[in-house]
Amino acid sequence: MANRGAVLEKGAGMVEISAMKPVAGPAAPTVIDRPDTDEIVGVDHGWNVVVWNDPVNLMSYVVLVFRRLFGYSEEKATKLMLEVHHQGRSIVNTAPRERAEMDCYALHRYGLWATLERA
Amino acid sequence: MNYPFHSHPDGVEVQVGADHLLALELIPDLLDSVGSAEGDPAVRRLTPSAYPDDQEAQEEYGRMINPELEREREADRRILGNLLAARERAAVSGKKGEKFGASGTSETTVLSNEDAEGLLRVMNESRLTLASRLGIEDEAWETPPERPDQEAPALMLLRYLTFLQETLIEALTDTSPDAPLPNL
Repeated sequence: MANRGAVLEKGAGMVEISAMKPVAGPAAPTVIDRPDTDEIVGVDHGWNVVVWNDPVNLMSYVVLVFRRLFGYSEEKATKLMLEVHHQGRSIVNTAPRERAEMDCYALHRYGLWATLERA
Repeated sequence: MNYPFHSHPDGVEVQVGADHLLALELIPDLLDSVGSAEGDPAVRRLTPSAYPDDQEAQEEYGRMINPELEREREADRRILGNLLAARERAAVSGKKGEKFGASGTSETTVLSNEDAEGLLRVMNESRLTLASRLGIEDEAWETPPERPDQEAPALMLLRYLTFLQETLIEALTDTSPDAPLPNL
C-alpha cells in the first residue's frame, strides 16, 4: 500500500497532516477539522417501509392498496397483508430514503399505518 | 341488501339509495370536525408519524408531507361533494341520476376509476376518524351486536360505511386474481 502521509493527533477535534510528496519549499502543515460527532457515516442500505396492523382497515382494502402503490400481484399483496395481520407488521418495500418517504406518504394517504426504519 | 357500487367498463357505477345517501352525507361534517376539539385522536390516526423514534426527522417529514397530504385529501373530499351534489340535482330535477365522471345514464352515476379510488379513500378516512374517537383498539368491534338498536350511532355509522367500502372495493377489483387493477 502506498504511503499516504503521516497523520498526527494534535488535540481534540484537530488533526495535523504532513504531506510526504516532494514539494518546492518547506512542507507547510495543513490543519483540518475533524468532525466532532459519534455518528457513523456509511453506505445507505436503504429504508424499510413498514406497515402496521390496525383493527379498522379492511383486508381487501390493504391488498388493493399494496397492488395499487407497489404494483404487486394479488398473491404477493395478500401475503404481505396477512403478514401485517398475523405478525403485526410487514416490510412492504425497501428503497432509498427519498423513495421510501414517498411510499410512506402514499400509504398514509390511503390511511394505512406506515413508518420508516433503516434497512 | 341493495349494493350501491358496481363494476362498469368506464369505472364504477353508482346506484346510491336514500339510506346510502344518508350515510354519505354525514361524511363532510365528520371530516370537517377533525382537529376541532383538543386532543382529537383522529388527528394522530390520520397523520401518523413516519419516524416515531426520531422527532427531528419526523418534523422535517411532516413539514414536507402534511400540506400535500391535506391538499390530496381535500381533492378526494371534492369527489364526494360532487357526487352528493349530482345526486341532489338529480333528485330536484326528478331524474333518478345524472351523468358524473366518466359516463353515465339517467338511471345511474358512473365514476372514473380514479374518482372511485378517491371516494374509497374518503370513506376510509371517515372510518378511521370514527374508530379512533370510539377508542377501537382491537377487532372485537366487527362482531355484530346482540341489540343493534342500542348501539352507539357512531358505531352504527362505522359499520354502514364499512359495508359501503367493501362493495366499492369489490367493484374496483376484478374477480380474476391475475387481472391487473384498472388504470387510474
